[in-house]
Amino acid sequence: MVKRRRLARRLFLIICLADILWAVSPRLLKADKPYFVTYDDEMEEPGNLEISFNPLLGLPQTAPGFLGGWTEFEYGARGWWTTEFYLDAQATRGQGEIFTGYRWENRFHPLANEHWINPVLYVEFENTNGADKALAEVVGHDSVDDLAVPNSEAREEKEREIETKLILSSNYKGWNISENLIGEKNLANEPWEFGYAVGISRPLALAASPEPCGFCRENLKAGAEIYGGLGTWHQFGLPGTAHYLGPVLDWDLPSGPSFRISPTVGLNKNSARFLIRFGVSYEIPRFDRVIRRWFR
Amino acid sequence: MISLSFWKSKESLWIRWALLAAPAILTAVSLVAAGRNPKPADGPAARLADVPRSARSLPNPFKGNPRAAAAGHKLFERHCAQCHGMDARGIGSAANLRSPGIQDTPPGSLFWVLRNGRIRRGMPSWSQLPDQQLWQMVTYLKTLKKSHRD
Repeated sequence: MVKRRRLARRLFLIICLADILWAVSPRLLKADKPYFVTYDDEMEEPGNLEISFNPLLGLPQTAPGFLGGWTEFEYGARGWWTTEFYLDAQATRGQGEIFTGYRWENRFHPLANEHWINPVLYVEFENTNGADKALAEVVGHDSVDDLAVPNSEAREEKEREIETKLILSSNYKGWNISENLIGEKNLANEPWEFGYAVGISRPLALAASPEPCGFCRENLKAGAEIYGGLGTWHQFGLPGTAHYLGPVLDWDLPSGPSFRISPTVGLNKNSARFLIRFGVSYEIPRFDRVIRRWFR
Repeated sequence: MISLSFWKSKESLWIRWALLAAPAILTAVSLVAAGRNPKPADGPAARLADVPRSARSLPNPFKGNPRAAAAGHKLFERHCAQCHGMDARGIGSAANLRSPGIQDTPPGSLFWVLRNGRIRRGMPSWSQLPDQQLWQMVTYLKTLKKSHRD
C-alpha cells in the first residue's frame, strides 16, 4: 500500500513537472477552449498535440476537501477526428493521493461545412475506480455522497464505462453556445446514465489589435457553464440528481499557454457546495513532424 | 474484472456487437478518408469552387485598412503559419496563399473558406474566431505579393 502511494505521488509530481516544463518552453501555441465540462465543435488541428492540466479543488459540505483532476493529451489525428488520452488522480484531506485511472476519448466531426448547429459525435472508454474525483462530467444520480466514501473503500470499485456524447455547438457574432447530451454505460451490467452540459462564452473583444499584447481583451474569453445529471434509463429525470453552475474565464497568451478558471457552485443538496476548477493548456504545433524527425 | 459469465449472457450481446462493429466502422471511415488524398485537380481551387454565390459577394469591412492588415498578420502568425509558413507560401500539402488562384479570389470567398475550413483535407474551421478577426486575416492575405509557385 505504501509503495503504491509513493508511486502515485511520484507520478503526480512527474506530471506536474512535465506541465511546468511545457509552460516555459517558447515554441508552444495557445489553446482556445474556455469550458471545463462542456465540449464545443472545435477540433484539434491535424498533427497538433495539446497538453492540459486541470486541477479541481472541491469543498463539499459533507465530505473532506479534495484536490482532483486530470492531465489530458489531445491529438488531432485528422481534421475530422480528434483523439484524447486522460490520466486521473486525486488527493483527499487526511487520505493521501491516488491515481484513479485513465480515459480514452474520440471525437468525430461528421459535416464538412459550418452550419447554424454543428454536431460532433463523442465516444469514450473509461477505466477508473470509484475514488475518481475528476468530475469531468456529472451523470445519473452522481451526488456529493459519492465524494464522502473513503479512498480505501472507493478505490475497490472498478468503473469500466463507455460514454457517448452528442455535442451541438453554434458560433454567432463571437458567441459560442454549446450543448452536450451525455449517455454513460457501465460495462458491469448497470443501466445507462444520462447527463447534460451547456456552455456559453464570448471573447471580450471581437477584433484583434495590431500591436502584440499579452493581457488585452482579445485574449480573454468569459462565459458560463451549467452541467448535471438526468437520472438513469429506469429513473429518468431530475429527482436525486446533482447540478453545478459557474462562470468560466479563459486567458490565452499569444506565444504561450492558456489559463482557465471556473469557481462553481452546487445548485442543490445533492451537489458539492463549492468547486474551483483551474486549467493550464499548451499546444505543440505539428507534433507529427517532430516525431517523424526523431525517427528519420 | 468482468466475469466470463457476463460476456456469455444475453445482456452483453449488444456490447459484443458494438465492439465488433466499432472497429469495422472506424476502419471503413479511415480507408475512405485515406483514399481521398488531394490530387492536383483537387487543390485549393476545388474548395473555392464550393463557395456559395452569396458568400462570394460579401464585402470586406476592413478593405484597405492598414491597422486591420497588421492585426491580420498577427493572427496569421498565430493560427496559420504553422502549416502555410511564415511567408504564406505553404508547407507540404498546405496551399501557397500567394498563388494567383488565391490572390485573385474575392475576399468573401476567402472569408468563407476560413470560416468553414476544409476538414476532410486537414484545414481546420476557424469558426470559433469572431468574424472581425477572420476579415482581418483576409485583409492581410490581400496585401501579400503574388507568387506563381502553386
